[in-house]
Amino acid sequence: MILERKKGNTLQEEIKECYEEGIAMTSRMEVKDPMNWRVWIRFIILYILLVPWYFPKGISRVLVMGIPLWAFMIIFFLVCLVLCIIDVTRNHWDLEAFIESKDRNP
Amino acid sequence: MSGMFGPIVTLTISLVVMLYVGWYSYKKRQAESMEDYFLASRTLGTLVVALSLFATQYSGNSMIGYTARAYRIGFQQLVFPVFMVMIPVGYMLFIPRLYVLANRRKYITLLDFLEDRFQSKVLCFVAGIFLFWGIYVQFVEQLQASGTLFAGLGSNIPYWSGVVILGLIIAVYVAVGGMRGAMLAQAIQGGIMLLGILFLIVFSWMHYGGIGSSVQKLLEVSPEKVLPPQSAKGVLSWASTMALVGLGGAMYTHSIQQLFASRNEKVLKRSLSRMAVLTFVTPTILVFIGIIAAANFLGLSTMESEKVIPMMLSQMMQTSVLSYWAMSIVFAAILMATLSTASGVLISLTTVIISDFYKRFINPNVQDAKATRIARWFNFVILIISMILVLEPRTTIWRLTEIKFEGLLQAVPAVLLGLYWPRATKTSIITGMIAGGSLAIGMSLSGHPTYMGIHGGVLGMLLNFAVAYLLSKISKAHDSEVQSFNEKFVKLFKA
Repeated sequence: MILERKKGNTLQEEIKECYEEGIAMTSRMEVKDPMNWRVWIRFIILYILLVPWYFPKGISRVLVMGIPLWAFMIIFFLVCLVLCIIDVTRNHWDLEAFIESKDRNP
Repeated sequence: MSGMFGPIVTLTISLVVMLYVGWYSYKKRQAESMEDYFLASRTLGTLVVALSLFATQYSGNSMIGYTARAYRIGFQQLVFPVFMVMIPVGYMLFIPRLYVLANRRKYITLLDFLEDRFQSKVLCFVAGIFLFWGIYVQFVEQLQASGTLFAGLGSNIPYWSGVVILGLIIAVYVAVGGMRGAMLAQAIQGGIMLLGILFLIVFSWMHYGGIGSSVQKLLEVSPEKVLPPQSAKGVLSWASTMALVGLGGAMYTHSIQQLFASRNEKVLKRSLSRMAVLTFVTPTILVFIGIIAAANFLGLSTMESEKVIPMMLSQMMQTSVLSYWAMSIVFAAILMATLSTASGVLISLTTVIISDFYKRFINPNVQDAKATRIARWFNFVILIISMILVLEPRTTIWRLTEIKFEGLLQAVPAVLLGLYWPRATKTSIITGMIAGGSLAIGMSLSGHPTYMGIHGGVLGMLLNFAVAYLLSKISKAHDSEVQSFNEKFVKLFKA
């Protein structure tokens, strides 16, 4: 593809274009988009666990640290969700390369 | 000690600081431009963005209305921290890409994206109505919450005084300070709120006993408040509330505007993860406070229970000098929560009216300086209309919350399909929004706001998605449209 020369371009212009495209591609290799299954499968599982549908009747009498066991478990899964969000923002999201320098503020 | 001296002192100090911040921001403005007034020229850092997001999300309605709901339904109100943490999850669906597009294509609001994507003013108008509805109800909620707070502190204090006094202060400092003023003030308010919530839990723990003893009392007097949802309907309602607020809350145009104002992606990501932590801790504490109230104030009616937090405050104020001043700070914190949300919302309302409606549909060639001037005056117009509406509260704060999100949800399909699906057409999206919105409004007006526990707004959104998808499939977008979408929005993200 690189060898296909666009109409009217001199070889010098073509080389310059390839060079710029190469730089852009290298910077985009670091890109991570959180819109992928590895991220969303975790969110979906936690969503299901955060809905209290699986507790048997009479669970309210069982207390952990003064609060009902079911409430304790919901809080536990909620902590997992918070950790998951932090992980996604840190390790699965990097689109900075797509913001061109001319778009940034000084 | 009792009386209003303490609350008035703490409140006055907080308000003076906020007005100063508004003035400081006015002086610091970089230019008389829309981007500066509405997005602080995209220059804000993590601490300001995170604390102001927190302050905007936690408002008078959450501190008063949602705690009151914990009083009424007990531990089932744990859905509150759950749905609050769902909001950052909702953001993950679209903010990463939208932030890039907003920077590249200079969007100020969500509607700028929709117009750029679908090239349709009608679509923007319909989506704008839903987004405007959501934030408008949010504003009305704040005014109602400040009135309720004042009225709950003492029988001689009228409800309207809270509405009028606070409303005027918000309008002045937002009009003067713009987005930078609002966000800086919100950051300070976020700090005061954290302190206030801490005092509230510590002192109510000391005065009424810990959560453990409250649970024991509840097991005797009203055991249903300790149970998880017992019916399929209750479980579905919980799941529906998570979707309702998680997606609807992520559609708040004022929060999206705050995210667009981040200096860079790193700031944006850090702000979101900090917000996730705060949104977990604070509402969990507020639910516990509601549980303590449920065990200690028995037999309040629904509308009386709305005032349970101010009632707790005035009771605790009478116990010692220390708790009098601590509770005065809590009082200021709740008002700050109300003010910060109201100010963020007010600035967004003016953004929607000026940038999204006036500039888009009435006068596209308006100069930025003139638009900003009109925006500053519009704050007062919105305020007066809203104050007239809430002088007689008609429903609980919680129901207002549901109504608000049901409207906001109808914009979700337009944003998600617009961002990820090249074949979505404008006609199908508009028809979807109208169908979904009609279902939600119809259910609400007919007195059946839920079906099997699922909110009308959530059902409306599902219908909205289905209609938009099927019609897009049938009508088929032109290849040229699909190609232009691919060039502008999809290929951009292909490494």
